[in-house]
Amino acid sequence: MENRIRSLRQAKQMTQQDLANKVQVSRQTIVAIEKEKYNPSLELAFKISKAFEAAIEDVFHFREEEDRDD
Amino acid sequence: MINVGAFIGLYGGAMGGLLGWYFGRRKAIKEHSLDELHDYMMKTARSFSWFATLGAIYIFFTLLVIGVPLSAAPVLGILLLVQMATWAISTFVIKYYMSLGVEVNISILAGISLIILSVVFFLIIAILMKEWLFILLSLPLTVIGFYFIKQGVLTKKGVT
Repeated sequence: MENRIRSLRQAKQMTQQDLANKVQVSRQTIVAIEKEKYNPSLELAFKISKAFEAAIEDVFHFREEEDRDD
Repeated sequence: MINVGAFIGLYGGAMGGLLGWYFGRRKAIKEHSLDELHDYMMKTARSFSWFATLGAIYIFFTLLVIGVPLSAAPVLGILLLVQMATWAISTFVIKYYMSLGVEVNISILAGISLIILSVVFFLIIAILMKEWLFILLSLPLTVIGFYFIKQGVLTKKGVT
């Protein structure tokens, strides 16, 4: 799963902590999601999109793995 | 005859642990630390600790088969220690790597640990018993370890 959280956050001049407070998670969670090491639940993905006043597909999008066999 | 010291240690320790857990949780709720990533990390760590406990049980059965005399209290104590210690250590490691933004794959971690632990353990047994065939007892655990690693690699590639 890819996301545009970092760029959207910078555009809104928001720190990771600001976003974390807004969606009520820890800053560590925002770091992990931004670095694409953790895929958020659908609920959290919606909350993050709402924090940016954007549609969920403008923040997250699914990328097919290049080396996927099936 | 009741051993008062052991009784106090057993229930006092449990009480202390519960109080620490309660106040730690209260602080964490205020900081929004008990979120879904926290749940994910705790579940991953607990899953890893169960693999370690499974390995420990396997080792105790092997010792029994070899003829080592075992009694219930120390065996249960060691199993509890293995469960709690590996849970605590793996929670710390996963939290540390997550804070760096590094992905932790529990299957690969469990597989590597299982292979190393089983080979080292049965190597020690083989040396102590002066019988190299004991090394072969590590084979089932090694095969299971490789299976976990394979599953972890496939998951990373998005195949499963």
